[in-house]
Amino acid sequence: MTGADLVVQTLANLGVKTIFGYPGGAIMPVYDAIHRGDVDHILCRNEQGAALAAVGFARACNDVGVCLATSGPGATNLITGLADAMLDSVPVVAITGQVASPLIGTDAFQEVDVLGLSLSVTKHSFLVEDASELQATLEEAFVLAKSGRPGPVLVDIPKDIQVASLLGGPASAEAEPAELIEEVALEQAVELIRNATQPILYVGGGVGMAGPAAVAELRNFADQAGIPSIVTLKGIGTLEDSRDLHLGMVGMHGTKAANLMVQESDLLIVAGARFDDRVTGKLDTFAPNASVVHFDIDHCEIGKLRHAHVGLLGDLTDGLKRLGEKLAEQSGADLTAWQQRAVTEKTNHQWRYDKPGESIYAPKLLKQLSDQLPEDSVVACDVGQHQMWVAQHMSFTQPYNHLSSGGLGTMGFGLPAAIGAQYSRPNACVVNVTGDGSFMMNVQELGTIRRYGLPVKILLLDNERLGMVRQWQQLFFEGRFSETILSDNPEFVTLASAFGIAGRTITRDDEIEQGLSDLVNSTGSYLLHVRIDAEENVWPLVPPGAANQQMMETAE
Amino acid sequence: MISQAQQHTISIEAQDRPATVERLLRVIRHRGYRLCRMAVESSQEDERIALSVTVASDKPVVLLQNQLSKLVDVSSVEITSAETNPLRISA
Repeated sequence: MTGADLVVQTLANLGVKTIFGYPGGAIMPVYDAIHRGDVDHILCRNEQGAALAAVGFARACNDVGVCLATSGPGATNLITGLADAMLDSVPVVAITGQVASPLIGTDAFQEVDVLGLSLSVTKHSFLVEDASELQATLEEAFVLAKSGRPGPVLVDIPKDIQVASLLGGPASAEAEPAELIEEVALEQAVELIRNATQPILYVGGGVGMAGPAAVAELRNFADQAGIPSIVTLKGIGTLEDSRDLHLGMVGMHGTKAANLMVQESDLLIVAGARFDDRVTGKLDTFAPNASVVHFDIDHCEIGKLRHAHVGLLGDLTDGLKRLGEKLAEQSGADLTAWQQRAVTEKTNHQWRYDKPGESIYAPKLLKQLSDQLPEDSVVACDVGQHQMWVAQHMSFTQPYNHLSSGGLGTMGFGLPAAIGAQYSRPNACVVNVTGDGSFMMNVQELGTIRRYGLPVKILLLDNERLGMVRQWQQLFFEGRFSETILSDNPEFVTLASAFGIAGRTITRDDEIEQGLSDLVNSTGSYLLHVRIDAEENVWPLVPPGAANQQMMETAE
Repeated sequence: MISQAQQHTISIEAQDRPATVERLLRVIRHRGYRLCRMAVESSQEDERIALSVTVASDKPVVLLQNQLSKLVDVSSVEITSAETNPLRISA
C-alpha cells in the first residue's frame, strides 16, 4: 500500500470514524486513499472550520478529534483551531500534507514551514522524514494528544512519503495511564481540609477532561465534604446548578455569590483549574486568605500563578476517592455557618429576568432555551456577550454539553464546533448560540450543514454590534465606539435560506416562546435570528485590575 | 530589570528530532527568560542532544524547568548553576 493508504488505514485501526478537512495539492494522495478507505471525511469550507469542528467533536465526546489539510495556506488556516485546542487542552490530531521532501526549504509552491509554525500552538508536532516512521508517528500522535494533559498534535507528511510503498500493521494508541497521587500529599491535603472553616471547591475544565468517572467522583466528594463550590467557564456542567452549595461560575462575569464567597475563603481546593486571569481578577487579591490544595495532571500548573501549599499531581478520579475516604475517617471543622452563608448568598443573588419592556432580554431568552432543550443537548457558543450569557443563564448537567472557547476566545468557534459535536453525538440536539459578529467569522460552514443535511440549530443574538468590545468601549474607553457598529449586517434569515436552512427573525418578548419552539422542534437545521438591544451589557463585571468582590453591576 | 535578574545554568538532555532546539528556545523566550549563553552537542549515533543554557529572569527558574521538562522530546532538565541547589526533574 501507499503511505497515504497507511494513513487512512491507521486512522481506521485506531477507531477514527470521522475526520474533518479540506483537500489540496500536497495532501491529494491521502484524499485519494480516503476515497477508497474506511473513514468518513467531512468537507468543511475552510481549514479553520475543519480544525474547530475537530475540537467540537473532541469536546462533546471527550475523545480525539482529527482534522486534515494541505500544505501552505491549508496548514496556516488550521493554526487558529490548533491554538484553540492548545489553550483549552483538547485532544486533536491534525494531519497536514507537505511538499515533497527534496523541495522542503526551496520556497516551493504552497510550502510553509508548518513544523515551525506549529511550535507554539501544539502540544507536540512531527515532520515525518522517513516513510518507515509513518505509522509509529501517527500512533504516537494519538497517544500524546490524549495522555496527561490533552492537547493538539500535528503530523506533517511530505508528499513523497504519502506515495511511498509501505507495509502497514495493526495499530494501537492507548493513552498513558496517569500516575497515582502520592499518599503523603493526600495526607497533607486532608490536614488542611479538616482545619478549614471556609473552604471552597474551585473546579475547572480538567475534571471533565479526566473523564465521566472523575466528574462522578467530584460530585461524590462535593456531597460528602459539604464544601461550597465554584466553577470556571470550562468547568460548567461538572457540578449541577441545582446543588444548594454550588455557587456557579467565578470570575470576570461570574456570579456574585461565587465571587464574594471565594474572596473570603480560607482554603481553595482546586481541581483541574489554572488560576486564569479571567477567574482571579487581580491575581494578588484573589482569595487573599486562602491556602491552596491543587489537583492537576500537569505539573507546570502547580505553583505557576499561585503558590500551592499542597500539589496533588496525578490521577484525579483515584485521588478524589482516596481523599474522600481519608476525610471520612475523622470529622473536621464545623462548616455549618459557612454552608449557610453559601445558601444565603446564592438565594440573595439569583438572576432576575423581570426586565420591563417589549424588547427581547437575551439572558431571559437563554434561560427559556435552557429550560426547553432536551436533557442531553449540546450548546456550542461563540465568543463575546452571548457567550457569557450562555455561561450565566443556561444550565448544564455535563461538561461535555457546554462547548465554549475559553482559553483562546475564538470568535467563529461555535458553528464549526457544533458541526463537530453533531458527529460525535449524532443523537443529541446541538445548538450553536452565536452573535452577529462571531457568526460571520465562520459563516462558510453553513455550506457544511447544507452538504450533509445536519440538524444543527443556530440561535443568533443580533445587537448589530461587536457587543463585548462595545461594552468595554462604553465603560473603559469613554464611549468611543471604534469599529464595533455592525448596522450593515446581512439579512441573516435570507443568508441562511441560500443554504437551504429555514429560519425566522424575532424582535419582541412575546415572540420568544414560538421562536424557540420553532428552533428546538425543527427536524433539520434552523436559524432563529433574535434582535436584541444594542445597549445591553453583561453583568456583573469585574473590571480589569480589580479584585473579584469589586464587581460592577451597572454602567453608572 | 534584566540587569538585576539572576542567572541560572540549565542542562537539558533530549531526543534529537526536527525542531527540538527551536522548541526549547521558544519556551525559554515565551515564558520570560533571556538566553545568555548556550552550548549544544548532538550525537548522531544515538539521536540524543545535550544543551547547556544560561538564562536570566526575575521569575523563579523552577517554573522554566517545569515547562522544559514537559516537552515531549526532553528527558531531563537539571539546574546546575552554583546559586541554586541542583534539582532534577525526570520528564
